[in-house]
Amino acid sequence: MNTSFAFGVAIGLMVVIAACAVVVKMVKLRNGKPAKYDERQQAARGKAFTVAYTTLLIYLAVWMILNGLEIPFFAMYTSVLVGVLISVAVFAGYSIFTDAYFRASDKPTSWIALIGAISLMNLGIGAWHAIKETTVQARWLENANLMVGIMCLIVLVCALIKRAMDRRIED
Amino acid sequence: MKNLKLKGARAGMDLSQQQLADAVGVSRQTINAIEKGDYNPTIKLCLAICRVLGKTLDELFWTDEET
Repeated sequence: MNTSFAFGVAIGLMVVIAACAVVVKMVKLRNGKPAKYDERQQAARGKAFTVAYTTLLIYLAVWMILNGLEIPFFAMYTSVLVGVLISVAVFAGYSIFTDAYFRASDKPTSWIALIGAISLMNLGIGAWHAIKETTVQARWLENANLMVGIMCLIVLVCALIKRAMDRRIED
Repeated sequence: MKNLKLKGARAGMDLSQQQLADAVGVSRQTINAIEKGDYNPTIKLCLAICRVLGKTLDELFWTDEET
């Protein structure tokens, strides 16, 4: 990984953190008071964190074994990202299906639209990289945007399935 | 174990799960989980529900036999 790439990753992370801070601030301003998870949701999210953490440990163990056997895997930085994305997807999926992902005051439709937009944006950038790059390694195994897009898509699908399940119960 | 006392008291006051949830500051799914017996609320939430429904802790949450 060269210096300019590392610099780009650092800038990208800062932009993501700043964007998240702006979204959280906007939600707080719109609702008038800080939105909170209720006690059942906090307990469910605690369990979700445990499951996600365990998933990350299992992923790292598999990664170490495959790396030791010199079996081709993702590029170094992408393999770290994939581990994080898998555990985030597990956390989000578990939270969604236990009704602990959205707060009582949240509007799930807005969040689902936001997740969909992030997914679409990353899949678009990822597809552009996949077309532009010349090596298979750069096309797929180092394509961070594609991976983030797929993770967001999984979260989006989970949220839509849960929404459909809830609607069917209400009917 | 399902909490039919809570469900009955809520229905008796003509409140939906959402209305009770809003009154005590939790999500509708949390009230649903308490009524279905899937979640045991803290004493703080029990008291908040009792206040809204005008019942005592015994009336809503005491069970004579443990299963």
